Amino acid sequence: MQIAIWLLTKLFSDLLTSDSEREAILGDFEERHLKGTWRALGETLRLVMIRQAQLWKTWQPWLLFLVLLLPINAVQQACGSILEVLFMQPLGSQSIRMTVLFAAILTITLGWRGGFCAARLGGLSRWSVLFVVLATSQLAIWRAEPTVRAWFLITTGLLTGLPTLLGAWRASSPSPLDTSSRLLLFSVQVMEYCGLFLAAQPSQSTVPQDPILIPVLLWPMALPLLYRASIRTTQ
Amino acid sequence: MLGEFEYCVIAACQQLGEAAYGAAIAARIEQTTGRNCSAGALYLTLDRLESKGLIRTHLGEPTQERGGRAKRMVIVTAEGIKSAAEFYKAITKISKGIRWEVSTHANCNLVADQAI
Repeated sequence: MQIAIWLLTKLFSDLLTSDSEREAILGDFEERHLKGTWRALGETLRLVMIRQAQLWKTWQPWLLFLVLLLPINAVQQACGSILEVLFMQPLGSQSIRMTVLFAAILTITLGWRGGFCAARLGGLSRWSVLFVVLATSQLAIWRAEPTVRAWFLITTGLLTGLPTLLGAWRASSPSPLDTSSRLLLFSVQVMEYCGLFLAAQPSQSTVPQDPILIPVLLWPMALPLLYRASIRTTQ
Repeated sequence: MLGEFEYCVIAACQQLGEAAYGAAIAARIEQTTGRNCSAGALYLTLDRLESKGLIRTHLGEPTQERGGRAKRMVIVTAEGIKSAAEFYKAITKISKGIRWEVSTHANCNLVADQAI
């Protein structure tokens, strides 16, 4: 049990904004014989929350959240709604199956890209930004009909949360912009355009046409510019 | 003017001298005041004091008993000593002539017996 608590303490201490503070605090716990205690875990969590909250005093996380991640979140929720509706209906025709497939691709790739951009642009605040984005995406579950909530939970969890975290993890790795990463990002972008084009085709979808849905789905066209700008500024 | 906990931290650092670092400061405050000194409260206070220019901190050498991790060493600056002295003077001045004791009267309120 002690080992598990200590591992958790070390894991959460990674979210501290300074490596030297992390080292000092973990060292202090060891020296004070608090290693593997609930007290050490609680104190670390409290400090992590304060440090992450302090990052929101600057304008960068707000800009990232409002300009980039909130719209991505809206697109993902729109795609989640498509999938939710279509999962509840028999996937009879080829066109409906294609719509579901590409809406799923779009949701996954946008999640991945959102996570990647959050990690690259958000810097130290990436985890609190991601937490807010994932929390807001989960709020949509309570708006869903009770009968389809389980489906919605699965679709938003698997198609939104997981790719977002994977994107952030990829961007956090030491050299995220090597050749394979660039190739991966290019593939993600191509898949996004394919998904965007096919999911937004009114004739191929049985989803009731929402006047807001199409502009929302078209919004990610602006993403490559933002993304390239982010790469230039962070390289 | 310093806050109460800020004063405790500076006073502990002064007492510890060159051996002032996170764990030692926390232990000293806990021993003296009998209150828990959490890592969060301590490190946030150290940051605040450093930004006010009252202390300076640097990473010390890693030691075996800390699992090979470095200490955050603290040095009180001249400005810090001055601020702590001012705080101490103010507290001493405002407390002059007061004997803190619990009243034995019916309502048992905490009273300050003005025994000037």
